[in-house]
Amino acid sequence: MTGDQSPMLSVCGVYKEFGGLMAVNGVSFNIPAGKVTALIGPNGAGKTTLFNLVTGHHSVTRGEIRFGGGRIDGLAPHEIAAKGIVRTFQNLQIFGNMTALENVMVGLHLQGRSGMLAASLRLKSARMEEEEFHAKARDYLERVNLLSRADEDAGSLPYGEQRRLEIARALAAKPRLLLLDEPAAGLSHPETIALDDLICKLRDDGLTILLVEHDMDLVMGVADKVVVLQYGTKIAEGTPAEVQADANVIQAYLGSDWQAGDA
Amino acid sequence: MKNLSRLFANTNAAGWLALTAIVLLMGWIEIAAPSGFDFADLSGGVITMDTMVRIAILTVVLVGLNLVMGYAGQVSLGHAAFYGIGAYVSAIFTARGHSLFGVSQSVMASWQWPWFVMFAGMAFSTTLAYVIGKPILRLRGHYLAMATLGLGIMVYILFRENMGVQGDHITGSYDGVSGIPRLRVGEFEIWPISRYYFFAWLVALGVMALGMNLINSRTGRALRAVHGSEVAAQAMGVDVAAYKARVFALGAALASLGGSMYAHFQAAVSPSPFSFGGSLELVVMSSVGGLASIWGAPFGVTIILFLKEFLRSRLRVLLSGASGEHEIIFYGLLLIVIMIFLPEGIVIGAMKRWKAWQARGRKETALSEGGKA
Repeated sequence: MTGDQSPMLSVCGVYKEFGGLMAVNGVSFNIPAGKVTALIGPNGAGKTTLFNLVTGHHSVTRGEIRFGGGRIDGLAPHEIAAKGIVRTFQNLQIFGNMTALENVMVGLHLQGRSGMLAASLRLKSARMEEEEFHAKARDYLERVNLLSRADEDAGSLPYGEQRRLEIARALAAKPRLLLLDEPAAGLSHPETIALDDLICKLRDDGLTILLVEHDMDLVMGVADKVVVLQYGTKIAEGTPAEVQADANVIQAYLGSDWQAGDA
Repeated sequence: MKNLSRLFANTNAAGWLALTAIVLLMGWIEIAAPSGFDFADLSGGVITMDTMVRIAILTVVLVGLNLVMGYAGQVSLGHAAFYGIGAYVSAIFTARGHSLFGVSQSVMASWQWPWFVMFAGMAFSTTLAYVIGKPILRLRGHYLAMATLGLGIMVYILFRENMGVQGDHITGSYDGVSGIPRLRVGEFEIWPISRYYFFAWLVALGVMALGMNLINSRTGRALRAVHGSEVAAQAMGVDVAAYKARVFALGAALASLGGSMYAHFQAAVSPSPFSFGGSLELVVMSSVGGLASIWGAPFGVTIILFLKEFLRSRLRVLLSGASGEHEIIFYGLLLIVIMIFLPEGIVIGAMKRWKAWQARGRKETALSEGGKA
């Protein structure tokens, strides 16, 4: 089902060892371009570790990660971000010392050129860039419905709004591949539905998304492809329907009553 | 002129006006002494021209330290080292450049030489900070504090221990270096002290303007992002290590500039202001004024320097037998009080209180009006 076009990201036989513990144990999968891929699995399955390997926050023990044809394992996180892989965080990493607007403006960092000197002297180039950044950042805040909060301290926003702010900040970085680490965690039901809509809209705009999520309704609703991990090993991969029918998955992770829709 | 106004455009215009007015007014009063008015007499020797020049010089240093500590969140307990390097480079090369390094007399006598040395000192401090900063700034929290502390102590020991070359000594041990010439522009000497006062404040206000422009820019946001969350900053493409090293280098450059200004002001340097105590004093000033606040710099310096002068002149009266060392106790107490009641420093803390107070006032009026209706 995935071989129809060249994948945007491929994880090939990746291992990650933490002091004797194999957190990720020879995992391989592809992320097709323009689709939503979900990574699911019980707690401790290695999902977030895998995320951190893709974004360079952890280094790969063995194996390769390729993005758009080139290897990215071994690169620093900011270099991987520059290649177009941008993420959000499960435990929110908002810049609490800045306003919501400024948070999004950090997301625009890679699109800017002005350096220390131009900024301190307020040269024309820096001022023009600054105006452009302001306008762009407001657009992104509008997309996640946070424009009214632009000048508030990001740290004082309610939890659900901080989650949306993280997504706006990530979008501002113009990702080719957007990694969402449990974006629905801690959200209310209506907020989750809004998130669902947002993800579908982004996908329809052509963005490739990798989603780590516990909320099964969300995963099954938006994902084109699901990869299931358990104990650092991939146990299933396929469309949501295929994964739901997979005997391994039902037995090992989802539980026998999952098909009734309770999970 | 338009360019100049743009330089200050990013900042609170009323604040600038107020600070500039204070600087000009105090300068004028000090020089003209209208109807015999004298700050030093009135304040019992606490407010003097000398102190006010020191405030300007240390404001330059503190803007740099606030960028490093307050905005980028990198603890530096050795900042006095770069202040000292600036001071000693200026002192050694302008007072003893001929005898130590064979710089020709005519070059030494030219008005450009001290300025050249000042910028060379800044370049040296910047480079040193960048090279040292790269490995040190990988450390975080307590470890970074310890590493910068170590750096400060090493540099201090180099000043104190003479660095003997061919039997001659360079830094002059505890005596330091004296005979540092005054700064000049052409034939115009920036001295007596009233002239130096205006020069020092011109530099201080300029540095504050640059600092404020910087924090509200792409670079400044990257620095604050590093403080807020390093992993998130990286994920947005900020080269965290490079930005830390750069801001450390910038902080060192400003400290070095302040040091050179200090050397030409005092006409002599000795090692003690650049010891660990010196670094600690800078951190206390920074915390009192407000770490993440450029406006905090002049406030923090002013409060601590006035307090210091006050203690120096009064402590013996209050506590007989108290020595200068007892100031440290007051710093400690002050720091504790500030941390408890205004942890963001006086400027930001007071602003927040003021806003909260205003908001409460509005709410109360709204409530009482609602009651009438």
